[in-house]
Amino acid sequence: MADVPANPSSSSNPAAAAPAAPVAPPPDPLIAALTALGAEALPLTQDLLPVFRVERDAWPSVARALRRDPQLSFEMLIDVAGVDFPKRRPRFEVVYHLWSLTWNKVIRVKVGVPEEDPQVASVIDLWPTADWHEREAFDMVGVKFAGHPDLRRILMPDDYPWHPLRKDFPVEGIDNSISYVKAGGVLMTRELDVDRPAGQDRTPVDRSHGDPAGYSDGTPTLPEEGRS
Amino acid sequence: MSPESAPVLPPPAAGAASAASAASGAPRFAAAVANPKVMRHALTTNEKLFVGPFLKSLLYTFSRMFKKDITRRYPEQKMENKPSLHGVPVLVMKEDGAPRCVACGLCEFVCPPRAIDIQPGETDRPIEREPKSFVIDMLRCIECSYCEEVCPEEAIVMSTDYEVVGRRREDFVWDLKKLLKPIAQLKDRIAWVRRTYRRWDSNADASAPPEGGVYRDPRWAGKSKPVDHH
Amino acid sequence: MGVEDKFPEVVTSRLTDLVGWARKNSLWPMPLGLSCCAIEMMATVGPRFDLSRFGAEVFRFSPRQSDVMIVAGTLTWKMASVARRIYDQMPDPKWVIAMGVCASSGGLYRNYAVVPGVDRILPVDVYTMGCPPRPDTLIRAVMELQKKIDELAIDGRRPREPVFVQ
Ligand code: SF4
Ligand code: SF4
Repeated sequence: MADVPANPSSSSNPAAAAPAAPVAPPPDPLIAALTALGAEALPLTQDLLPVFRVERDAWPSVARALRRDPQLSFEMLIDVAGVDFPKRRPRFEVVYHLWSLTWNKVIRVKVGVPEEDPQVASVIDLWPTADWHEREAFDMVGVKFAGHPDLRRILMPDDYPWHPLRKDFPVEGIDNSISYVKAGGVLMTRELDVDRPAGQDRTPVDRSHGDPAGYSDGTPTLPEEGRS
Repeated sequence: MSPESAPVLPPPAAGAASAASAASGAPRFAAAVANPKVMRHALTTNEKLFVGPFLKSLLYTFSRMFKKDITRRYPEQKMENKPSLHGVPVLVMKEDGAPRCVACGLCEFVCPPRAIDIQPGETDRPIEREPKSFVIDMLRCIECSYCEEVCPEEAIVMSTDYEVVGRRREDFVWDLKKLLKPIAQLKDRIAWVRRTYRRWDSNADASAPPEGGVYRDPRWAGKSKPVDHH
Repeated sequence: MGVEDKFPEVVTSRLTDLVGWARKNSLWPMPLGLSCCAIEMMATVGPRFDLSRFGAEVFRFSPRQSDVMIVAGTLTWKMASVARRIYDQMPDPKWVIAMGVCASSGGLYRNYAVVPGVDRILPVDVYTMGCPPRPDTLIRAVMELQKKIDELAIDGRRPREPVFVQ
């Protein structure tokens, strides 16, 4: 960081810079610092958020610098999100939003993750809040976070075989009668009615105990799994 | 961070991005910074003894006994049936017993949970199309009234029935026979629909066409002869 | 010729009728409030609608003390096993009210995450329409459940034998 030219007054005086409109805006020291670390600066977002793209291999060192360097000191990880761009290479992106409380600066960092090896280093040792965020990104998009101590699904059931926020996943779900949840001794098949027209939902097996119609004692109509 | 080290970033107060928040020059929660402790008055003897406030609360509960109670005894006293109530969607049945619906399928398309299923058929009436079967799965319907809003014929409206319970799922699949409701019972709602959904129509005359009659679009007044589609 | 003829101030009944009457008028619900329907469920117990007029105001947050489970809201597959475990912990006889379209059929949510009707995992006794249903509708569902309980024999499963009329 020492070789980065410090330039504290470059952007600190917007009022003075305003009349000289044609002059290019002074180089942002933050962008300079991150470029020196190996990040590629992308155009600002609409709400003037600096955006950076970091190579997957460089991300651990960049993250460490962002967190630990007293002159960057991004103390707070606001969000980790996995994004799927099915036509792009690399296909996945992991997007981090970081907030420096010291400097009151928010930046966005994007790390591309290829489909063949969907893995990226976890930042849980730098920002402990990344725990659940990374679990969610893993659950929804299927990016694995190397070094995460407890990378389980967080929103879907534990045995769910797909990553539903990938763009090629049908929102109705896949008919997954092979998949099941074991709960309370009951095998619950997971079939979906999404493609049936209205009024033709598969009416489930009538498990209502004590319904007068169709009940006869001693016959196997009383489902044993329905009773505890 | 020591003050000597040259900061890479501008100090927050002078940064361009934080100019708006820094304009006032003071922290936003100045009062909270000045008085970090919440101010509380010392407890009086009465409050320490606890008996006084306790009796006060009991007295309040007791005093409610002499006030008018606000309970609405449901099965006997139903809700006031305002025409704006979103109840169960029903089909408008004309005086001759036929549905107004022309089976255009707009409501089927717009229904968010896809609760409606229409099988269109042909008819000898001038409208040429009518629903052969019209099914709404009431266990899917969320009473959103989109179907009513989209219907070009004012053929499906929300009724004021709102308590539908049952023991089997099949009971909730309402067919044409169950959905059709005489237009005489739906006059209020149809008038409400016209008032509400034609509010943006500058020429609309909300008080105009009589319920059950032909709706004459005011934009075409005098320009063409309206046809009674039904 | 019965006891009631000799002693007009005595009322006789069958035990199964008595138990059914007691059961249906002291339902203890287990609120499984999963989303916005739970707000209407709370309103139902409040003074305006007052579910205690039907003897069902004792909401128990322990399944072991309750006998009717009100599933109020969207049940996801992640929550499904939990709901089933709660149901399994309730003592017999027990009933289930599916409150609202999400609990009854999945409702608006035809997607991978939501159970299309809690009857996939629980035996539902009364379904309720509405998104969310008004408190009136829930009261109506409780009344419907009372009617159903009244038709049951003492074990809570079989239909009750018809009363012998001379
Ligand atoms: S009210 Fe809404 S959900 Fe119900 S049938 Fe009409 S469009 Fe569908
Ligand atoms: S939008 Fe109206 S006319 Fe068209 S199918 Fe639905 S009810 Fe019938």
